[in-house]
Amino acid sequence: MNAPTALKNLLPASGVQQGTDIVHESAHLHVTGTATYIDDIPEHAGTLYAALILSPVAHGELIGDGIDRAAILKEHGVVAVYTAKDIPGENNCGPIVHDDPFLAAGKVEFIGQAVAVVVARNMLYAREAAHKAKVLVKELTPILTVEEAMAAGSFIMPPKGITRGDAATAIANAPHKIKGTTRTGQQEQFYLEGQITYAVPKEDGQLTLYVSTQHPDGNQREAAHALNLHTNDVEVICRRMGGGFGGKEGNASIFSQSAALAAHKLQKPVKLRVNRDDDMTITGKRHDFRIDYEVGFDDNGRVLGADITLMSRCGYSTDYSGPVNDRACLHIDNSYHIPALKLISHRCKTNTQSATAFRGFGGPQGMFGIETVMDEIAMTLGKDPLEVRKLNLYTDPAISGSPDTMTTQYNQLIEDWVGDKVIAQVERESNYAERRAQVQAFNAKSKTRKRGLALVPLKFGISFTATHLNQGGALLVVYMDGSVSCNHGGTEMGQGLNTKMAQVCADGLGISVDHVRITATDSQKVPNASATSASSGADINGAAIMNATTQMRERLKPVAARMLGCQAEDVSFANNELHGGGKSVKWADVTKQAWLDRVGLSVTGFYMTPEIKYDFTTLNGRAFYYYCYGAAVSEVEIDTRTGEWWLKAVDIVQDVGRSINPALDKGQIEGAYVQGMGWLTMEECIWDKKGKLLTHGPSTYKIPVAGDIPEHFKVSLFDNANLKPTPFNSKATGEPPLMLGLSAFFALRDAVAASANHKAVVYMDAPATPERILMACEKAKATAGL
Amino acid sequence: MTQVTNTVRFVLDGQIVEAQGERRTTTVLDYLREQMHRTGTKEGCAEGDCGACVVMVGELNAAGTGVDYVATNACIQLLPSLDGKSVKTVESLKKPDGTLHPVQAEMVKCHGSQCGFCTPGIVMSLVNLVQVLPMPNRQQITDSLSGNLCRCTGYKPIIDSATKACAKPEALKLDDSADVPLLKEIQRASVPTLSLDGDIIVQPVVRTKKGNEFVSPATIEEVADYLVKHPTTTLLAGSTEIGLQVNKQYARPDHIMYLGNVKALRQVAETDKVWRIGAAVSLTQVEALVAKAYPDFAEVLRRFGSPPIRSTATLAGNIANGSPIGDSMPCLLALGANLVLRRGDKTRNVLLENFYTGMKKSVLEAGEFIEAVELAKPMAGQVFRAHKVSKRFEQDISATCAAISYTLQGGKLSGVKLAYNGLSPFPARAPQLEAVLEGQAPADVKAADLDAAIAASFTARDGLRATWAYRALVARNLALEFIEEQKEVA
Repeated sequence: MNAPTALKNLLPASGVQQGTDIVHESAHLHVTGTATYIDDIPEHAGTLYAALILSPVAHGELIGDGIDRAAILKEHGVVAVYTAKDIPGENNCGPIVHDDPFLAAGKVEFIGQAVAVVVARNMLYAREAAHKAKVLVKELTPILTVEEAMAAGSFIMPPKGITRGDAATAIANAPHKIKGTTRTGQQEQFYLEGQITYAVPKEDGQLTLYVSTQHPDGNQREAAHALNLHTNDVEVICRRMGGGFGGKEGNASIFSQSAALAAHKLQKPVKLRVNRDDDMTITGKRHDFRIDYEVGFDDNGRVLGADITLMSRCGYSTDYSGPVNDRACLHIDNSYHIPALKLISHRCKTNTQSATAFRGFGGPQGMFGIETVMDEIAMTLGKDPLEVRKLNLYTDPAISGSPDTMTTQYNQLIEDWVGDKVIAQVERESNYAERRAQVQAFNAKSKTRKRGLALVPLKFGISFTATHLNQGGALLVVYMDGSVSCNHGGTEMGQGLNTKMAQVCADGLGISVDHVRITATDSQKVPNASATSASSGADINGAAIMNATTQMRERLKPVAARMLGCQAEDVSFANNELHGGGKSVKWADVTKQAWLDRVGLSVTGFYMTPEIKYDFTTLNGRAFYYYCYGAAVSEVEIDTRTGEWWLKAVDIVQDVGRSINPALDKGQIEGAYVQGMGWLTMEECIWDKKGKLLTHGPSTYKIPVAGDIPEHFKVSLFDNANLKPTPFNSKATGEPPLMLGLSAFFALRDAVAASANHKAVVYMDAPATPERILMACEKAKATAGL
Repeated sequence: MTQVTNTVRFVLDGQIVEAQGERRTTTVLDYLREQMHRTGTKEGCAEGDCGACVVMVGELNAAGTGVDYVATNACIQLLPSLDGKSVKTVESLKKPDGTLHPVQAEMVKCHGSQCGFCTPGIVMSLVNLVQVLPMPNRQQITDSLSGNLCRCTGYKPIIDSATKACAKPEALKLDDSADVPLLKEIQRASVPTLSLDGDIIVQPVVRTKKGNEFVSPATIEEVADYLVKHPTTTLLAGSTEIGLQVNKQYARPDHIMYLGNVKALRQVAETDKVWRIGAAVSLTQVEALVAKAYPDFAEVLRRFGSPPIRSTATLAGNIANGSPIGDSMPCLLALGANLVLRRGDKTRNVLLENFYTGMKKSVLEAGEFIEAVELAKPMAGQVFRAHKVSKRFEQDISATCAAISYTLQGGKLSGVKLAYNGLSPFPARAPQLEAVLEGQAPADVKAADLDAAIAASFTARDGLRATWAYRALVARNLALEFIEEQKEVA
């Protein structure tokens, strides 16, 4: 049976699970320290430990295979050392384009690139040997910045663009123009659990890899290819991750493959756990962007035409840079109708870590660009930025008279637009107008402290832009005692996916959640699964589980009908019972009877997202199945003498469809806001001139802490059923709310503008560190002649 | 005698653990995870900055009737420093009948965990908080979590769960009655071991075949004696620096001497005019000591680091380490702090402003150590102001930290002492800026004069944490702010 393309035959049996705030399935394990992460798995006897030898230069040719094998093997406790030459099969950890060796071959292309893997009798010996090992390399000149790459024509792929109408003419004829450059910074995922793989050889050349990964299938296939095994020889298991955020989508392979190689060669269990510094040095981050813009607009602030150039630092290999930059292009509109647009996206190749997936996946950077434009238009015209934002929103064709005002730059007609309603709700709930007046009153009185306020909306498209990835699978197993084991292709990284999936599964069988155990993601249970990314986890895996429960119900109905003395089609499932003919029979009695009747009690479920049809080469078509909407109001205060700032209050309204679990969704929204705020304010990657990342631990790379969270931090869910038949008509919540953090940045810009009495346009790149805030104040004051 | 060579003895949940054959640099975290299989405690960063490894370390209280705890980062604490102490990990909390500690129960109910990896550390930080503060306010809760990173939740439900847990005050205290007699049993000697000739013999906690040692003396005499005999010894107190060297640079100091058991060094002596702060007094204690007299100093110390850092790190350690961005030093320099240095049985006094001779270099001679820091109490009319500027408010490294002390004599600034970190190779007073201020009415001080003095005083150098342009601007603005606000009061 192929996937259902519509879910109308997959409606939940009872719907009682809808909207229940049940706690995370592992919460009781988290708080007692009994939740098992990879490093907590009891080790097999004879386990060895691996560490990576890293390139000390950003660009160079390796001499020989880059190491002095004999010297390393002499180190205390060392058992083996492997380089690219020891890989029997394909040396690649690139998820899309196979241009990314997991052990450097011939050349090194960034500081931190793995050159060799050392295996020793304990972790410390392995790390000491790796630390001591000299890398034999002839240093070459690196390309480190976007500017250097643009000048040298160094790209990981050709540029892409979108043309809509005649932007040049629109800008030329516009009454007002702005032109500028802004930048967003890199961001480290900073999952609390670092990258780790425990590789255990099994009989007959097989391998089991316990990997902290968002993409078990990727790790499985790549390890098989590297070792000249078949995919069915390698099993990847991941019960949970200590955070992922995109950083364990492709990057986990760097580590899982080296561990697999060592375990396979030595036929011994090998654990590879990198320390935080190596993790941050080796793995990719959120792409930093330079955004050049020239925009024409009318007296009211309505955008007439925009010419935007995106340049991102992709690092040394392709990784996910294609779809990340594509998504930036697809989100350059955010919630706004841009009638004429010329957009070019350059994907720069640099001698830095290969920038990779991070929650939002290019969307935040694109939206940062257009929000900068909106803010600057408002500052230029002396208007409240909210007024300009509202003026430029997508507009109902019934009002505008043209479907174009509800059509994106990539030719997708928006069918579920609620952006204006979401803004209206957060405006109301935050008392925006009153707060604006209070901020102005405060600023009029305060000389050195200034406050700022901003409302920023978001619209985020849901689907993998690679259409074929929009598929989910599940395995549903019912035992004769009525307990249910359910497995799906998604991974649990804290987002509560397994909790939601247990709810979906329980609902589909009319039983309570405590009957259901969602088991560790295992590539031998659900094959060929897509990565848990693109906010897709609950949609595609939930639908697959619904498909499975529907099949299971069909199998159990005749059994129950015989017990109840009714027709199979009259049997219904609810409250841990099966009902029919005015009678009820217990769920567990039916499952027992089903076994006695020799009814198969395991099924697989499958789902593919319908309708999407999109050409990624031209960035044109129906890229997204649906959109999520949201809006946030942030209020900040800055000290104009030091640039220090305080987040005073946050109000959020987020569209999550009909929530499966509002408590989990609110947790996602709060966490995403704070992560987005961190990206745009205190989180800063700093590099030296040789291309070495200097901020490689939490002592130097600062993510928000509890003290940064305002007491007023209010999240409301927008009451809105998904028009598409997702599980319970819910919507994705993983990525979209990250972009709510933009409101903190634009509130800071507003406060900086206040330091110059709103008499100058503010120029401030992200992240808005105290230094950038102070310097922006100084510049604005100088421009305003203050 | 209790000091058995090569055995570290500590109490864990009503049992004495005898850790034998461990390295002198084995961390508490590695021992708990790898040898005790207590895997609830996590490694997130191995530098004391993420809090995933927070455990509570206990010592017998002064009366010998109970246990005093501090939250510590197990990742940077060295196992031998646990000798004679007790440990509580996240696994210690659940009662045999399955009851969770209120903090745990509320963390579950309030959705305080998502990925769960930071959760054990957060639970331990909060449990430690409520041992001494059963009704913490929001600021005390967030302060207790200033060294606990969570990347998932946005912290709101965690803060909520702490508040709610305190609704059950009777259930907050840990039951450690079984630990008390065991702590007495393994208590370290409080007097030195003497040879037949009366010479001090410092018994090692750990000694290797090569003669490398970890020692944990009880008296200042032992410290002085050992340092003269082994002048290259690394002194260990809070382990916030040594722990990093061990984890990140694989440092293996030959001799490590832990000062945390030297009773006399952990005391503050007081006269009418001066506090004499022993070298092993923690920053938390200093924070409490100066809270009323110098509230800005207390706030700098609060923001110095998280509770696990502050409760183990020491004022003397911060001074001796001599980092250019050490946060306590500007305050101490502005307050004219004096150091009591000791070598053998000889002591000498050196003003902190005369202590440093270069980047991480000082007048300390081989075998000499800081015995105490003498800090004057405030004089009538004395104004003391200090402020630290960093990217993040809590547990971050300064771009610069500035402190000033002065009085107003007839409306003019007098006796100005102004000091900074982050501007020069070591924290130092800024005499040229002081000269701009001295004798001036605050309103007459010109920003341009301060700018000129800053340019003349320091070498312009961009740093990891800030550019020079920013530091110079902030240095000037803070000086102005320090006197400006006084002007309004005066």
